[in-house]
Amino acid sequence: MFQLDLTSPKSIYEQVIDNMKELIVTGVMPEGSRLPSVRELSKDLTVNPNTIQKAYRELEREGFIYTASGRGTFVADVSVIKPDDAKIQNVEKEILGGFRSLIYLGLSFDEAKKIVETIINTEERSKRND
Amino acid sequence: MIEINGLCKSFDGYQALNNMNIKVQSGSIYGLIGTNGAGKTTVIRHMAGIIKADAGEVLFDGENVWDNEGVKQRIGLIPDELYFPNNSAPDDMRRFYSSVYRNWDDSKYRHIMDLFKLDPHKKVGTFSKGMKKQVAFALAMAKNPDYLILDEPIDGLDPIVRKIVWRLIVDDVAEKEMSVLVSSHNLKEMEGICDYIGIVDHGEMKLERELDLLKGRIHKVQVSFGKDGLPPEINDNLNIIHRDTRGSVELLIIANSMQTIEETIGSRNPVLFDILPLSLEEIFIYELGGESDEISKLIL
Amino acid sequence: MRSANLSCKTSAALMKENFRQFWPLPVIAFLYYFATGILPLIISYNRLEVVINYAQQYLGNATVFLFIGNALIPICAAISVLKFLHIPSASTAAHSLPFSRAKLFNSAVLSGWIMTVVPIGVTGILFSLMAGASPSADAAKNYGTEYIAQMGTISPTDGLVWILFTVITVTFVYAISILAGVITGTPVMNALVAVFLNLIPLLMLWLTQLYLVMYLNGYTENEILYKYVSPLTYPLAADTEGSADSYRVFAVFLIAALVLIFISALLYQKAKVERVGESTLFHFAGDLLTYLLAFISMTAFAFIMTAIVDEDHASVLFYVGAVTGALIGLVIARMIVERTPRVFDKATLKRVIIYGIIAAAFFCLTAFDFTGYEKRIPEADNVASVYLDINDYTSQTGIVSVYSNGSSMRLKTPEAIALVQDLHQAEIKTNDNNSKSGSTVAQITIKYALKSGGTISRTYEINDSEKYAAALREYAKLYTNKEFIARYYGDTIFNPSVIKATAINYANSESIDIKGKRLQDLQKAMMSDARSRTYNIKDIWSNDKSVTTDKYAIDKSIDPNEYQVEIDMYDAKENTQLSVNVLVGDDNTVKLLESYGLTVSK
Repeated sequence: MFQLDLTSPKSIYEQVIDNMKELIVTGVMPEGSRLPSVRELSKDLTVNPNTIQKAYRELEREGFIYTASGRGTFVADVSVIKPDDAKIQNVEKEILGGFRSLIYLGLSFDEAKKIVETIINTEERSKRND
Repeated sequence: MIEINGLCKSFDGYQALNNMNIKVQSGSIYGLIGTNGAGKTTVIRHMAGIIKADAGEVLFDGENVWDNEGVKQRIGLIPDELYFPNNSAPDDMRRFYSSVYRNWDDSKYRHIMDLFKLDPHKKVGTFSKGMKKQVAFALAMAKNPDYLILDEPIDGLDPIVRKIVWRLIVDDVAEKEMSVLVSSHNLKEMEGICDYIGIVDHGEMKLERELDLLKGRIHKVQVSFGKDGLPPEINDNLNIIHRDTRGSVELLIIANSMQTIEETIGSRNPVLFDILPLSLEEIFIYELGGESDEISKLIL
Repeated sequence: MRSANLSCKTSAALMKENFRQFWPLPVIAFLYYFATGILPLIISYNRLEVVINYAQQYLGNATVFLFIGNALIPICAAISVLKFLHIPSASTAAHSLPFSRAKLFNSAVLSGWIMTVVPIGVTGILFSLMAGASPSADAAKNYGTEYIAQMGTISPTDGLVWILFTVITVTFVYAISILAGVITGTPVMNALVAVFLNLIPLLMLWLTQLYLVMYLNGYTENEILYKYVSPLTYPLAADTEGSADSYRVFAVFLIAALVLIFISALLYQKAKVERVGESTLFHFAGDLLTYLLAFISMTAFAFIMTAIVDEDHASVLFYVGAVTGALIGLVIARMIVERTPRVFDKATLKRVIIYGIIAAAFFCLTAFDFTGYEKRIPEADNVASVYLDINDYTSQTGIVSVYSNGSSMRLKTPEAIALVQDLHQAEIKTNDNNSKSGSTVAQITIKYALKSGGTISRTYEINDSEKYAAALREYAKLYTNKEFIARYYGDTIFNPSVIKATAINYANSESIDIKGKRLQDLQKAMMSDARSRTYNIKDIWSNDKSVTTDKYAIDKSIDPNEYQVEIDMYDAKENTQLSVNVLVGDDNTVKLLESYGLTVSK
């Protein structure tokens, strides 16, 4: 389904959540599709099932998935999900940090700005092409 | 659930266990880590009902393990020193265990032996050390234990075999809520698989916590305030265990939550501010090793 | 200790596993019994006369093969089944199994016992099948009809009786070995201690008797006791298995074995698995072995020391030997228990001190005769009869000397009994334990048969030092008693098995054989000479050669009062029974011998 990066500073729990979200948001797992069971996924990734369990619970809390008892866990309608403010702030900091890193590397303000704009434009173009 | 309460044991005057307390939740994978001689093997031998403690108790779902056939039926142990009777093949052990353990699952045994590509009719004496461990693992899992106790089992097995082993363990944990206690030095591996960690030292439980919570309480921080240096409030409001200064960049080990650190440092506009989570190995060394320079060199 | 700990439950799975692992043991045991016991019978099935003695010995467990086999097989069985108490990895595996400790122990012990006795059962049945063995047609020609007549056969029940006694024997040895296994922590220690504990009763009996002889004046060494100390030694003594006594004795051995196993079960419950791999599972075991070894070594060195050096300073050397032996024994035992030669530390010192106190107390106690043993002498009117056993080594008493006898004479008349009691009193007064002054001249064992039932037995010596003057007088007086003379020349010297006497003159090397009627005449002559002998006891110790008694005087350098003539008695198998010297004054004997053609000279 996806790969875990065991060398990453992100915990496995976080990685499972983030990877799942990416699959759901990008549409690889459309609304209504069935997620692997905790058991299947833990075996697949060789990860503690409790970790998977916790990740699923968090995803359900955030509205990305829902459990139909007896039938399994399914992808929810993510268009209604409101982004978490605190998390948005974190990502803002990350982007700011990345921008500043460009400057530390020796680029001028305008050169750094150009790079950021190029990234956004490329992303927009590829989204339009899907 | 496995509960160890106030376990004390001395051998000929040497206090091996000093009020040891452990709680293993059902369906969890508990990593028991500690320096050599901390008492891990001793605790495990008490858990398996092999030795009797001077004081305290070992309870499996409330039942004391000592001389308790019913409880021992549900325990699968892989000790640090394996024993196979002379001239025995794995199948001889299988025959014995199948007549002893009520929940014995022959197909499981065969399945695992196949996965490991081991010949069940060959004398175990001809097997390598690693292969012997694999046989022990197959036999232990086939008992269908509710509690799996492993004393440094994985050290010495090749990566393919380890993957198989963890996969099988994880499967049983997920499917039947098997509780697992693993004692190991391979912290990297434990970090990936355990949800609870117990750090023991000198016969005592120093720190027992859910792993995620453990990692949440101690952080490595790289910070710089340029020529101005660190504001003094940072020293006063944060629990800085260790500090290493290189030029204007400070590398700090801080025992506070990430939120507290962010609020305290971030609010003062540092030039450089990175929070790096510590690995289990680093946490282990800091919890037990103290502040010696060699240890910090290892980490930094 | 809850009684629930000592259930009798066993696990079939555990026992089966032991059988699977150790099946070579009963197979080898059976082959051993078969090769040493059944095979000779099969080979000589139709020539029973060749093998019957051996077979009867075998069926009585009185051969070396069975002594060794009945000892080794149960010891090996015990070591095998108790492996789980002696190898750390095995004990981890065993004690984590879903069995109570009682079940672990019971299953091990029972499976080992079964493996030990099954070969015996099979062999015994085979013996019963050998009942048809018979002598060959010409057996009488080679062995004589008498021999064939009293030869005996193998009866069908012989094998079954053998099973009974052999099973009890190996069970006893097995029980001791299990006890050894439960207190030791390695297979090697198990083996050593099993052998040691099996030998201990014998050793301790022997050592105890050594001390009793040394410290208790009059103590009679009792060799019969050795047969009651182990079922391995019992058949080697006179009584055979199958006699009434043997059933009683072996019933006791069986009960003892069961008690030992019960004790082992109790000890096992207390055993600490964490000590598996150390030499002992209990601290007390190591100490017990240490002190036992120290005691044995102390005694050995002390007695060897005094045996080598035979002088007045012996008692000092005795204690020197004791201290040396104790220290050596202690140190070696500590090395075995601690499994290192580096035992010269405080712990050993502590044990040296403890042992020193025990030994000191022991030797102090031996100075006192708590039970009044030494002074005890029965009332004259309670004595029904008295048995005398005399070994008279030299002719220096001037009395007829008798070499190496051992057959008892029985005295019933009040006068004789009174004389014996006088001798007894004199010996009590002499109170000379283990004297190294002078040399032994005679050894006498007095055994009273009491009217009130029971016996009292004492053994004394007569020694040529002045201390024994009074005893010597009483000893000499015995020889003047009519009943004594009659018994002496009737039962002792001319006992029923004597069929021939040879008279030898050492001066001129002449010798004659005396048989049949001449032998009877010789006996009559010697008896009448003896009756006419008198002893002047008062002057027996006089150094003045001019003072002579009526017939004799003692001169320690030469024997002037004997002829150089010795008469040796022989039995049917040409074994020398004993020898008698002809003394000056034995006129009837001299005349008779000369009439037979022997020159009698001094």
